[in-house]
Amino acid sequence: MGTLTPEAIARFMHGQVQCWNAHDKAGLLAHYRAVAPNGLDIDYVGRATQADGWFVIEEMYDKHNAQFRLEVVTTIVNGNEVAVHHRNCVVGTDLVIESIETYRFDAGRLWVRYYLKPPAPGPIDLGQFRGFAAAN
Amino acid sequence: MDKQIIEDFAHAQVRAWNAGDKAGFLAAYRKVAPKGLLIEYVGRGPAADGWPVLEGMWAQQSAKIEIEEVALVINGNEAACHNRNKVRGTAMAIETIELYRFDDGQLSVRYFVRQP
Repeated sequence: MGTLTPEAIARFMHGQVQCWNAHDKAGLLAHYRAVAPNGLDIDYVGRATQADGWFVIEEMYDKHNAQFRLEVVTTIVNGNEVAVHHRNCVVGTDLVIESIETYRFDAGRLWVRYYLKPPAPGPIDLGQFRGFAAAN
Repeated sequence: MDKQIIEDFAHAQVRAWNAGDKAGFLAAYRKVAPKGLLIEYVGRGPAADGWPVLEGMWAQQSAKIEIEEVALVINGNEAACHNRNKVRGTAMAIETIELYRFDDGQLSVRYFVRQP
């Protein structure tokens, strides 16, 4: 698998958000498998503990899909890389976790890096989130 | 690097840019990058020496662009910024997501640029 086309990248970026918000786990994972047949790496920037990307994405869905609705603020595609700004809105509250995420597609692998901004203090335990729980 | 230093840098460079303060803008970078600066425009080739890039950026764009900070996220020794680069006198804006990695006196910057 070579470099993805801009259309394939756009399909993935749009599709993953659409599936997340539609509570479509199979669709979400299918989008990832389509662009990352050779491997998926997910890195929470600044955190000491990292894990296998497939485990992270499944865990994220299973633990948090019902809690969060994604809003896309901006998506920038440059070459085989993408940077996005998302608002991860906690359903039923005014709380938002802002994230800036980068995606690099190369030779059938996908490298994802999450920059997460904790929300203002509120009735939510940040320790339940992998990206905050492993903070160093 | 201390989170407050990173946050101060991120805001200082924008404040100086918008004020037309070139010396202040470059000073903000020199303070956090005494051992070197690399700047990469993602998708347009490898990172280059950042000092001439900053000089060129200032010469070509400082009079034309006003920066609005949309989001700043600091995790560990890295920062990610979503900025809106507004073309003065128009309704046009160029969105950027900018990544900053601070490492032992060196600063590596990566720009994602969305053309209007």
